[in-house]
Amino acid sequence: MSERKITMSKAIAEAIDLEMARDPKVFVMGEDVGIYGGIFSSTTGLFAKYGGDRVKDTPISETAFIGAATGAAAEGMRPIVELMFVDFFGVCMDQIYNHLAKNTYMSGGSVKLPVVLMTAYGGGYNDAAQHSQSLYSLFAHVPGLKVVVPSNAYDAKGLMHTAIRDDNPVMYFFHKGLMGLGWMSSPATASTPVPEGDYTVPLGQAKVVREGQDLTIVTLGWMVHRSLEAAAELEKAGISAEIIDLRTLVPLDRETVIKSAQKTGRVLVVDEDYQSFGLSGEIAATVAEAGALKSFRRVAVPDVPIPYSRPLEQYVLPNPQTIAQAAQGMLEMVG
Amino acid sequence: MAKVVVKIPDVWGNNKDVDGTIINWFYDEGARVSQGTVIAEGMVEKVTFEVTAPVAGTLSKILSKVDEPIRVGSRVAEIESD
Amino acid sequence: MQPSRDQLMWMYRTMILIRRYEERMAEVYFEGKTPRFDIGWGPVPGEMHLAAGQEPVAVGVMSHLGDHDTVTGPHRPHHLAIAKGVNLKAMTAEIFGKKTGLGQGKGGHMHLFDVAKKFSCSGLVGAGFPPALGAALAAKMQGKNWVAVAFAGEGAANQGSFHESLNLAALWKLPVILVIEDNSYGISVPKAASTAVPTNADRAAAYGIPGAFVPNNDPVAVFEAAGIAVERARQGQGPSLLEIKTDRYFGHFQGDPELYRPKGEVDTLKGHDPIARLRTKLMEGGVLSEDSDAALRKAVEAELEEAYAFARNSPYPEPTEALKHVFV
Repeated sequence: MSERKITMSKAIAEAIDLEMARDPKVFVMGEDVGIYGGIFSSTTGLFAKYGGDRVKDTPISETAFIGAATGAAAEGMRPIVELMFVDFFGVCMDQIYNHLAKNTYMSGGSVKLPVVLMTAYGGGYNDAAQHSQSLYSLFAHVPGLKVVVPSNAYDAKGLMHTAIRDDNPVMYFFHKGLMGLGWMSSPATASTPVPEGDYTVPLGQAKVVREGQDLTIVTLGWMVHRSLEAAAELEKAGISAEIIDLRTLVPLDRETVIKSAQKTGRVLVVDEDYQSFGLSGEIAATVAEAGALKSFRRVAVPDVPIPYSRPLEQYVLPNPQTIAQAAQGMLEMVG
Repeated sequence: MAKVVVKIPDVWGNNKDVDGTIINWFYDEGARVSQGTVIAEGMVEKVTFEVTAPVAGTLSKILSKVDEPIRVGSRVAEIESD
Repeated sequence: MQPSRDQLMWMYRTMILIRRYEERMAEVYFEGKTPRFDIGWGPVPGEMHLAAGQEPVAVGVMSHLGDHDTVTGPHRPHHLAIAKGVNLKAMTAEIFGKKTGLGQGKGGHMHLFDVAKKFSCSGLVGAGFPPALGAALAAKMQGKNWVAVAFAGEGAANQGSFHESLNLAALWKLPVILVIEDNSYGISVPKAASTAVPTNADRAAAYGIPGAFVPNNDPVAVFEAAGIAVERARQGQGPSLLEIKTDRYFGHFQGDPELYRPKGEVDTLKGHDPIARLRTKLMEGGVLSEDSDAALRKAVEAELEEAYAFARNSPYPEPTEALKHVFV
């Protein structure tokens, strides 16, 4: 049997399915995760297989059900909860950052919270300022939450297995435009061959998805695909770009970033999140602290909310052209 | 061995004059598939549906690429049966 | 409190305007989305939540409001905006992402702001209650008899913001009305699977304020219930809670396959359509004739044509305008 290629949404649902079959303590709750199968198809098929006791539709009460996940996890269950859009965190952040993220620490490690909080992020389809944000850096900033951001189906499945088995809270971000949904375009490279059985992808291990000599592009999620497109263009101009897919922000694989920075001497961060006070600054600090920072640039959302209108949104999101331009600019710099 | 054509099932609503499309192929040409394997996913209007292999064999040819229009009965692939 | 003949006719015409606006939007939204229905394609991209079927809520309440009164709406806002008198051309242009739109293309259909009409809405469920309280507080502090009305779906009544707002509004005796539009579904989840009490109006008792449930998706019944609540608020007697049973003819959003919905449900609902029912009533009362109805509908189409043409023909904003308006 040759390899099947599946979408990221199917990969995620498959990992959850396998874990639910393996461990009766694993259950899912969230808005429209039941019959609907998740607005972005992250739980398709699970309700039919496991029923409403283990795949629970919730009221629109995020504080209640995300807080309940913390409580259930403390009692030994392994909840997977879905926050429909990461943008909605505002209604329930206290339960996330003051409790889910801190109870383990405050209890001196005696309280285990094996919660997976999965959530949709990202823009590019004109959903405007309240439904298009990335925000993973905000959660990575808060100690106590592991943060996962897969860019393709293979990683998505393996990282979901790992996240569910982890005894700590994991925020699992999936980009809506990578899920392979019929109603939202997805780059063809997001669907990949995926084994049917279970396997894990470790947290804290970045992946060099393209080797190169002239500069290092550090990125994640949807921007991996856009960076790959940019790298193909740069290749034509004689520029060899290395691309690192971070895959997880917490833990962050600083070693892989530093190693590559030491090799190429130039680091470009491509980030769909807001530019200031976020991931790109953290990567800059990481390579600077390691003494590996010779040249640094970033392409990110220029500190404005995500606008609705197509030309406005396209302008603020990094794209292959703006990425390639930034890379070329770095190589044109003296030294 | 025989060539079996994979056709689009009638999952259309009342209006058959709407174009649908394949949104995902889960196997490349040359892949081995079992009978009943979901080989592709289609979409008509807002509803997605599965396209399964009618026989076990080799997915010898993909006739309808992603985003090309399809209707009920469209021939979207060929399988060389075992 | 019974609506006058003029008020009845205004409600009837506005319901038709809303209905046709939404039907037309559904058509425009589908443009450029074949053979694949891709949410990001076509002249109107992004999520689109249409309110056809929910017209009675909008017109029944808005009959009692003027420009000084504040309205906050949810992610499904068009019926409320239209009934509040939001500039139809600028609203439509906003939905098309154009420079001439209410927000110059920044907001889109879930984020409409019309300062002149004191209308705003949000894409976050339950987010409209607290700002309505604030508007009511501002009116009270300035000695005005203005009121504020927050609209939200029945799903929003399970958000903390709803309960916090009810308590605060009651505590401070604010001139605010919380209106729950019960269209039976929070996306795919039926009310019975999300809400522990049969009607949200029952929840008013927990905060010591009046609560009324209005069945039957009937604009006149909504008019009567809202009239009492608005009058109460204007006279400084404090907040009220209304829950109005209404119907959602389209999916949660355009693109929703609605597989959770019993087959034929929408057809059944349409058999009980509020516009058709009011039409019959007006005809029987001699308020409306076949001729005047045809003329009214023709005028509505002309108004819509003007708004949609304006939106379509307006220019897009320059890409760099994305950087403007973070601050004033």
